[in-house]
Amino acid sequence: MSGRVDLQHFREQLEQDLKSIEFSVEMKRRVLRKAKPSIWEREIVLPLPIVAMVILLFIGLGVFIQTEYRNDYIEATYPQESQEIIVLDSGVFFENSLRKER
Amino acid sequence: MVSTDQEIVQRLCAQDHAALGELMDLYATDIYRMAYLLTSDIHLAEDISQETFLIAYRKILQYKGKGKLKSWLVKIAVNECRSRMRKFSWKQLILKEMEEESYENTVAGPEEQLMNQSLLEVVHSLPYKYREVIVLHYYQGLSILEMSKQLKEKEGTIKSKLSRARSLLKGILLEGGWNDER
Repeated sequence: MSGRVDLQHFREQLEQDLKSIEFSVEMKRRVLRKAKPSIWEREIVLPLPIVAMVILLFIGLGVFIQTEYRNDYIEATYPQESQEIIVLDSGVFFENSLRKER
Repeated sequence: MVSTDQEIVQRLCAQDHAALGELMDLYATDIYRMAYLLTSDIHLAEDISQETFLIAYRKILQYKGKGKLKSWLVKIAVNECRSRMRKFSWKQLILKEMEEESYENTVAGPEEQLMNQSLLEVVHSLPYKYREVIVLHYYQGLSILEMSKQLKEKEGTIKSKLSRARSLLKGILLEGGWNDER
Protein backbone atom coordinates (compact mmCIF):
# COMPACT_ATOMS: atom_id res chain seq x y z
CA MET A 1 0.00 0.00 0.00
CA SER A 2 1.29 3.53 -0.78
CA GLY A 3 2.21 5.89 2.01
CA ARG A 4 -0.76 8.17 1.32
CA VAL A 5 -4.42 7.36 1.49
CA ASP A 6 -6.06 8.14 -1.84
CA LEU A 7 -8.87 10.64 -1.18
CA GLN A 8 -9.79 11.02 -4.84
CA HIS A 9 -13.28 9.63 -4.32
CA PHE A 10 -13.68 11.28 -0.95
CA ARG A 11 -16.40 13.65 -2.03
CA GLU A 12 -18.28 11.00 -3.97
CA GLN A 13 -18.30 8.68 -0.97
CA LEU A 14 -19.44 11.48 1.32
CA GLU A 15 -22.22 12.42 -1.11
CA GLN A 16 -23.33 8.82 -0.97
CA ASP A 17 -23.45 8.96 2.83
CA LEU A 18 -25.28 12.29 2.71
CA LYS A 19 -27.84 11.49 0.05
CA SER A 20 -30.71 11.47 2.53
CA ILE A 21 -29.84 15.02 3.64
CA GLU A 22 -31.96 17.35 1.51
CA PHE A 23 -33.08 20.94 2.10
CA SER A 24 -36.82 20.38 2.23
CA VAL A 25 -39.70 22.42 0.86
CA GLU A 26 -40.79 23.16 4.43
CA MET A 27 -37.33 24.53 5.31
CA LYS A 28 -37.48 26.72 2.21
CA ARG A 29 -40.92 28.02 3.17
CA ARG A 30 -39.66 28.83 6.68
CA VAL A 31 -36.85 30.94 5.27
CA LEU A 32 -39.17 32.78 2.89
CA ARG A 33 -41.58 33.52 5.73
CA LYS A 34 -38.81 34.92 7.92
CA ALA A 35 -37.23 36.91 5.10
CA LYS A 36 -39.24 40.04 5.68
CA PRO A 37 -36.72 42.40 7.15
CA SER A 38 -37.74 45.01 9.68
CA ILE A 39 -36.78 48.60 9.06
CA TRP A 40 -33.83 48.20 11.43
CA GLU A 41 -32.43 45.20 9.62
CA ARG A 42 -32.71 46.47 6.09
CA GLU A 43 -29.76 47.99 4.44
CA ILE A 44 -30.46 51.17 2.56
CA VAL A 45 -28.21 53.03 0.16
CA LEU A 46 -28.23 56.81 0.44
CA PRO A 47 -27.01 58.68 -2.64
CA LEU A 48 -24.06 60.90 -1.73
CA PRO A 49 -25.31 64.14 -3.39
CA ILE A 50 -28.56 64.00 -1.45
CA VAL A 51 -26.74 63.33 1.83
CA ALA A 52 -24.36 66.23 1.13
CA MET A 53 -27.29 68.56 0.36
CA VAL A 54 -29.09 67.63 3.57
CA ILE A 55 -25.93 68.19 5.62
CA LEU A 56 -25.32 71.58 3.97
CA LEU A 57 -28.93 72.52 4.60
CA PHE A 58 -28.57 71.77 8.30
CA ILE A 59 -25.30 73.69 8.50
CA GLY A 60 -26.88 76.65 6.69
CA LEU A 61 -29.87 76.58 8.99
CA GLY A 62 -27.59 76.51 12.00
CA VAL A 63 -25.59 79.49 10.77
CA PHE A 64 -28.79 81.41 9.99
CA ILE A 65 -30.27 80.81 13.44
CA GLN A 66 -26.98 81.69 15.12
CA THR A 67 -26.71 84.95 13.13
CA GLU A 68 -30.29 85.93 13.90
CA TYR A 69 -29.71 85.24 17.60
CA ARG A 70 -26.59 87.38 17.68
CA ASN A 71 -28.33 90.26 15.89
CA ASP A 72 -31.22 90.10 18.32
CA TYR A 73 -28.79 90.10 21.26
CA ILE A 74 -26.85 93.11 19.96
CA GLU A 75 -30.02 95.07 19.28
CA ALA A 76 -31.35 94.30 22.75
CA THR A 77 -28.08 95.24 24.44
CA TYR A 78 -27.27 98.26 22.30
CA PRO A 79 -30.45 99.92 20.98
CA GLN A 80 -30.13 101.33 17.43
CA GLU A 81 -30.26 104.98 18.36
CA SER A 82 -27.25 104.68 20.63
CA GLN A 83 -24.94 102.88 18.22
CA GLU A 84 -23.10 106.15 17.61
CA ILE A 85 -19.41 105.73 18.21
CA ILE A 86 -17.43 108.39 20.03
CA VAL A 87 -13.68 108.53 19.68
CA LEU A 88 -11.77 110.05 22.58
CA ASP A 89 -8.11 110.16 23.51
CA SER A 90 -8.73 107.30 25.94
CA GLY A 91 -10.36 105.06 23.35
CA VAL A 92 -13.44 104.26 21.26
CA PHE A 93 -16.85 104.09 23.00
CA PHE A 94 -20.57 103.74 22.25
CA GLU A 95 -22.41 106.94 23.16
CA ASN A 96 -24.85 105.01 25.33
CA SER A 97 -22.05 103.48 27.43
CA LEU A 98 -20.59 106.94 28.11
CA ARG A 99 -23.99 108.33 29.10
CA LYS A 100 -24.47 105.44 31.57
CA GLU A 101 -21.10 106.00 33.18
CA ARG A 102 -21.88 109.71 33.70
CA MET B 1 -19.86 34.64 -11.94
CA VAL B 2 -22.37 32.92 -14.20
CA SER B 3 -25.30 34.90 -15.51
CA THR B 4 -27.79 32.98 -13.37
CA ASP B 5 -25.98 34.08 -10.22
CA GLN B 6 -25.72 37.66 -11.49
CA GLU B 7 -29.43 37.78 -12.25
CA ILE B 8 -30.31 36.35 -8.85
CA VAL B 9 -28.09 38.89 -7.07
CA GLN B 10 -29.72 41.79 -8.94
CA ARG B 11 -33.17 40.55 -8.01
CA LEU B 12 -32.14 39.94 -4.40
CA CYS B 13 -30.90 43.53 -4.21
CA ALA B 14 -34.42 44.53 -5.23
CA GLN B 15 -35.76 42.36 -2.34
CA ASP B 16 -37.31 39.87 -4.75
CA HIS B 17 -38.55 36.92 -2.65
CA ALA B 18 -38.74 34.63 -5.65
CA ALA B 19 -35.02 35.14 -6.22
CA LEU B 20 -34.36 33.94 -2.67
CA GLY B 21 -36.33 30.81 -3.45
CA GLU B 22 -34.26 30.22 -6.56
CA LEU B 23 -31.05 30.77 -4.64
CA MET B 24 -32.09 28.07 -2.19
CA ASP B 25 -32.99 25.72 -5.03
CA LEU B 26 -29.44 26.09 -6.33
CA TYR B 27 -27.37 25.89 -3.18
CA ALA B 28 -29.39 25.06 -0.07
CA THR B 29 -28.89 21.28 -0.06
CA ASP B 30 -25.15 21.68 -0.52
CA ILE B 31 -24.97 24.20 2.33
CA TYR B 32 -27.15 21.96 4.52
CA ARG B 33 -24.92 18.93 3.90
CA MET B 34 -21.78 20.95 4.57
CA ALA B 35 -23.26 22.26 7.84
CA TYR B 36 -24.08 18.69 8.86
CA LEU B 37 -20.55 17.55 8.03
CA LEU B 38 -19.15 20.32 10.16
CA THR B 39 -21.49 20.14 13.14
CA SER B 40 -22.48 16.43 13.10
CA ASP B 41 -25.87 17.60 14.43
CA ILE B 42 -28.75 17.44 11.98
CA HIS B 43 -30.96 19.96 13.82
CA LEU B 44 -28.13 22.43 14.20
CA ALA B 45 -27.29 21.99 10.51
CA GLU B 46 -30.94 22.69 9.66
CA ASP B 47 -30.88 25.94 11.68
CA ILE B 48 -27.54 27.01 10.27
CA SER B 49 -28.47 26.37 6.64
CA GLN B 50 -31.71 28.33 6.99
CA GLU B 51 -29.97 31.15 8.81
CA THR B 52 -27.33 31.29 6.07
CA PHE B 53 -29.92 32.21 3.48
CA LEU B 54 -31.62 34.72 5.75
CA ILE B 55 -28.28 36.43 6.34
CA ALA B 56 -27.51 36.36 2.62
CA TYR B 57 -30.89 37.94 1.84
CA ARG B 58 -30.47 40.71 4.41
CA LYS B 59 -26.84 41.44 3.58
CA ILE B 60 -26.90 40.96 -0.18
CA LEU B 61 -25.63 44.51 -0.67
CA GLN B 62 -22.39 43.47 1.03
CA TYR B 63 -21.77 40.92 -1.71
CA LYS B 64 -20.00 43.07 -4.23
CA GLY B 65 -19.67 40.46 -6.91
CA LYS B 66 -16.14 39.46 -6.00
CA GLY B 67 -15.83 35.72 -6.21
CA LYS B 68 -18.58 33.18 -6.69
CA LEU B 69 -21.92 33.60 -5.02
CA LYS B 70 -21.68 30.08 -3.66
CA SER B 71 -18.30 30.86 -2.04
CA TRP B 72 -19.94 33.77 -0.24
CA LEU B 73 -22.72 31.49 1.00
CA VAL B 74 -20.15 28.92 2.15
CA LYS B 75 -18.34 31.66 4.06
CA ILE B 76 -21.54 32.71 5.83
CA ALA B 77 -22.34 29.08 6.68
CA VAL B 78 -18.83 28.35 7.96
CA ASN B 79 -18.95 31.42 10.21
CA GLU B 80 -22.34 30.34 11.53
CA CYS B 81 -21.03 26.83 12.20
CA ARG B 82 -18.01 28.18 14.07
CA SER B 83 -20.16 30.51 16.13
CA ARG B 84 -22.67 27.78 17.08
CA MET B 85 -19.97 25.19 17.77
CA ARG B 86 -18.23 27.58 20.17
CA LYS B 87 -21.47 27.96 22.11
CA PHE B 88 -22.20 24.27 22.22
CA SER B 89 -18.69 22.97 22.78
CA TRP B 90 -19.00 22.63 26.52
CA LYS B 91 -22.43 21.08 26.31
CA GLN B 92 -21.24 18.55 23.74
CA LEU B 93 -18.17 17.70 25.80
CA ILE B 94 -20.30 16.79 28.78
CA LEU B 95 -22.84 14.84 26.73
CA LYS B 96 -20.10 12.95 24.91
CA GLU B 97 -18.51 11.89 28.16
CA MET B 98 -21.85 10.64 29.42
CA GLU B 99 -22.46 8.69 26.20
CA GLU B 100 -19.02 7.08 26.33
CA GLU B 101 -19.57 5.93 29.90
CA SER B 102 -22.92 4.36 29.13
CA TYR B 103 -21.62 2.53 26.04
CA GLU B 104 -18.38 1.31 27.61
CA ASN B 105 -19.15 -2.37 27.94
CA THR B 106 -21.93 -2.80 25.45
CA VAL B 107 -20.44 -2.14 22.03
CA ALA B 108 -17.96 -3.91 19.82
CA GLY B 109 -14.25 -3.25 20.14
CA PRO B 110 -12.59 -0.31 18.36
CA GLU B 111 -11.56 -2.27 15.29
CA GLU B 112 -15.04 -3.58 14.67
CA GLN B 113 -16.48 -0.13 15.25
CA LEU B 114 -14.22 1.34 12.61
CA MET B 115 -15.11 -1.36 10.10
CA ASN B 116 -18.79 -0.46 10.43
CA GLN B 117 -18.28 3.28 10.29
CA SER B 118 -19.28 5.21 7.22
CA LEU B 119 -16.93 7.86 5.88
CA LEU B 120 -19.35 10.41 7.30
CA GLU B 121 -18.88 9.03 10.80
CA VAL B 122 -15.12 9.03 10.31
CA VAL B 123 -15.20 12.72 9.38
CA HIS B 124 -17.42 13.46 12.37
CA SER B 125 -14.92 11.76 14.64
CA LEU B 126 -12.24 14.34 13.78
CA PRO B 127 -11.75 17.35 16.07
CA TYR B 128 -13.63 20.36 14.71
CA LYS B 129 -10.60 22.34 13.54
CA TYR B 130 -9.42 19.43 11.39
CA ARG B 131 -12.90 18.52 10.24
CA GLU B 132 -13.33 22.07 8.98
CA VAL B 133 -10.31 22.03 6.67
CA ILE B 134 -11.09 18.51 5.43
CA VAL B 135 -14.67 19.48 4.57
CA LEU B 136 -13.72 22.76 2.92
CA HIS B 137 -10.89 21.24 0.93
CA TYR B 138 -12.25 17.86 -0.10
CA TYR B 139 -15.99 18.46 -0.03
CA GLN B 140 -16.24 22.07 -1.13
CA GLY B 141 -13.10 21.98 -3.27
CA LEU B 142 -11.52 25.11 -1.82
CA SER B 143 -7.80 25.69 -2.34
CA ILE B 144 -5.39 26.52 0.49
CA LEU B 145 -5.50 30.20 -0.54
CA GLU B 146 -9.29 30.26 -0.62
CA MET B 147 -9.50 28.60 2.79
CA SER B 148 -6.98 31.06 4.15
CA LYS B 149 -9.22 33.96 3.05
CA GLN B 150 -12.42 32.31 4.23
CA LEU B 151 -11.14 31.35 7.65
CA LYS B 152 -8.93 34.43 8.01
CA GLU B 153 -5.92 32.33 8.88
CA LYS B 154 -2.44 32.26 7.38
CA GLU B 155 -1.81 29.84 4.56
CA GLY B 156 0.89 28.14 6.60
CA THR B 157 -1.60 27.48 9.39
CA ILE B 158 -4.12 26.04 6.94
CA LYS B 159 -1.47 23.79 5.34
CA SER B 160 -0.37 22.57 8.72
CA LYS B 161 -3.94 21.83 9.83
CA LEU B 162 -4.72 20.07 6.58
CA SER B 163 -1.60 17.95 6.85
CA ARG B 164 -2.48 16.96 10.41
CA ALA B 165 -6.08 16.30 9.43
CA ARG B 166 -4.97 14.02 6.59
CA SER B 167 -2.74 12.08 8.98
CA LEU B 168 -5.58 11.61 11.43
CA LEU B 169 -7.97 10.63 8.68
CA LYS B 170 -5.44 8.26 7.16
CA GLY B 171 -4.88 6.63 10.52
CA ILE B 172 -8.58 6.13 11.11
CA LEU B 173 -9.25 4.90 7.57
CA LEU B 174 -6.35 2.44 7.58
CA GLU B 175 -7.34 1.08 10.99
CA GLY B 176 -10.85 0.65 9.70
CA GLY B 177 -9.68 -1.31 6.72
CA TRP B 178 -10.69 1.34 4.19
CA ASN B 179 -9.15 1.10 0.75
CA ASP B 180 -9.85 2.31 -2.78
CA GLU B 181 -12.09 -0.60 -3.63
CA ARG B 182 -14.54 0.26 -0.87
